[in-house]
Amino acid sequence: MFRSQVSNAPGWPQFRAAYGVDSFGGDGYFTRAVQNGYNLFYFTPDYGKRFTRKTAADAVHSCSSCHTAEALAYGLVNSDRFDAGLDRRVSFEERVMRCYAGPMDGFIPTLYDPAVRDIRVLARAVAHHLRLSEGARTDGS
Amino acid sequence: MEAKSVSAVPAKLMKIALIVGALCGLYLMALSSHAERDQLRKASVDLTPNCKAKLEGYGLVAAEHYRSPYVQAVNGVDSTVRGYSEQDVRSIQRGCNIVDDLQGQLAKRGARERWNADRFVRGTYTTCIHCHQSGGDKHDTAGKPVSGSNNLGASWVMADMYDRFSGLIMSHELRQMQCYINASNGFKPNSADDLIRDVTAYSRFLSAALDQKMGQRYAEQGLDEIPFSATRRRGDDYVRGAHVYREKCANCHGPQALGMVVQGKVLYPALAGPQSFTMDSRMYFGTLNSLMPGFICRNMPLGAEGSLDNQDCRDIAYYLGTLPRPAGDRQGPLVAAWQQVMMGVMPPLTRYAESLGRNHTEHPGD
Repeated sequence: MFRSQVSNAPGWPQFRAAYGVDSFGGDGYFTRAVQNGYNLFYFTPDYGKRFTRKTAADAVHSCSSCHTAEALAYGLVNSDRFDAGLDRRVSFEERVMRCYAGPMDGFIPTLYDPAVRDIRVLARAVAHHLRLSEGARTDGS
Repeated sequence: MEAKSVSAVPAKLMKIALIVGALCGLYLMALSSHAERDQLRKASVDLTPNCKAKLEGYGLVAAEHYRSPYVQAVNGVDSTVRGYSEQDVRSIQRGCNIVDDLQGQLAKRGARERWNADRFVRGTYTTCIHCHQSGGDKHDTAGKPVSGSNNLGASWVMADMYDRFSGLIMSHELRQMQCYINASNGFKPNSADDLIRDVTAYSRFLSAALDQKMGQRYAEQGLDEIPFSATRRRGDDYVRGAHVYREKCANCHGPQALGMVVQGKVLYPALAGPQSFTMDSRMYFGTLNSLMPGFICRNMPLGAEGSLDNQDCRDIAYYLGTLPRPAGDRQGPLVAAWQQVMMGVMPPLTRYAESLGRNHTEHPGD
């Protein structure tokens, strides 16, 4: 669902400044998608409640409970690769969908849902800030 | 009464058995189709000559690390990124084949080797390299990517941005789906289809080979638009465009822009007529009048790119926009029907008119 306004969750102005979200072109739509991705990533029970059974009271309740924003960006540039455990290639979107179903103890959004798309857009914005290229490794090489 | 109800029971059972049988049949068909796809994923890939040269040049092999020879040669730095598994390499290879030869005209087993991509396009001419030249990675004689050449790697790193035409945040996969609908006058595959995913894998590999950074705008991404303000402001003129087209383009694309096919292989794409892009495509002058001129100026004529000036490019694009072509989704059934009629009627009429011109002998009084 398209929303022209996204709620200002705590920490968004700092995140926006720290990761230079505004330097990624003057694209308001993109920035709003990044903001929604931020909300989903740090406050999943509030903004992705359709897809999780977790509440803020749980120890692991949001994507940020397990991942950092940087790890998410590295995950994006290393996605669409073969996963020996699953014996097939797995996309970034599928990994996000699996997180909702698994650690979030919830339900799988469709591929096109903003609950998936905006996490990817957030990862892309952070990857842009870190100047990552395809296949970049966490050791910086 | 009783006899009637007894005969109704087997009939009912027969109906249920038929439905169950049909469902089982469908299930078996799906299983067989999945098994076939799985087999294709595991099979080694016969590369097209262009892909073989490109992927070998970029040093694509299954290994723990990937070092791009291109980056080393151009920038003099050793860029080491995560390598590719055998499965990833095959996916990239298939993606390159799809871009180079969408309909499998160069493949031993035809379209099956391209995930039956011909299901998603109308006509037999369409392939991605018509717009994404050199496998979506065109370089000039100095070995640098050509500005405004629709580079697929650059497109991947700048995906997920807002698209002002569709009003959507467009992922790389959605962009490919648009290509099938508009540029190929066809139907959209599922976003998770191997057909889409392999091309994404290939695009991602290109971005690694060229060391393109995420979210960075590169000159080779997309097409350079040539708006009216970038011309000598004589005004666009399709008559002048027709003249320039005949002089510069007709040798390859044909006098009526219907393309050129030699021995079943499409040498030059159709720019009008049933095998061409639709009126919804951004290449259509009536939809977006600055994009096709940009493509022409940057990428045409082959071997003499950059030789046309901005006004020539706009005039040619305007002229091509006047030729009949398939309607898109937005035009509605009446326009679609009219275009169908025009696509049938105009070529023979034009040929006839041109033959009259050729037979016409000039008299001193003319």
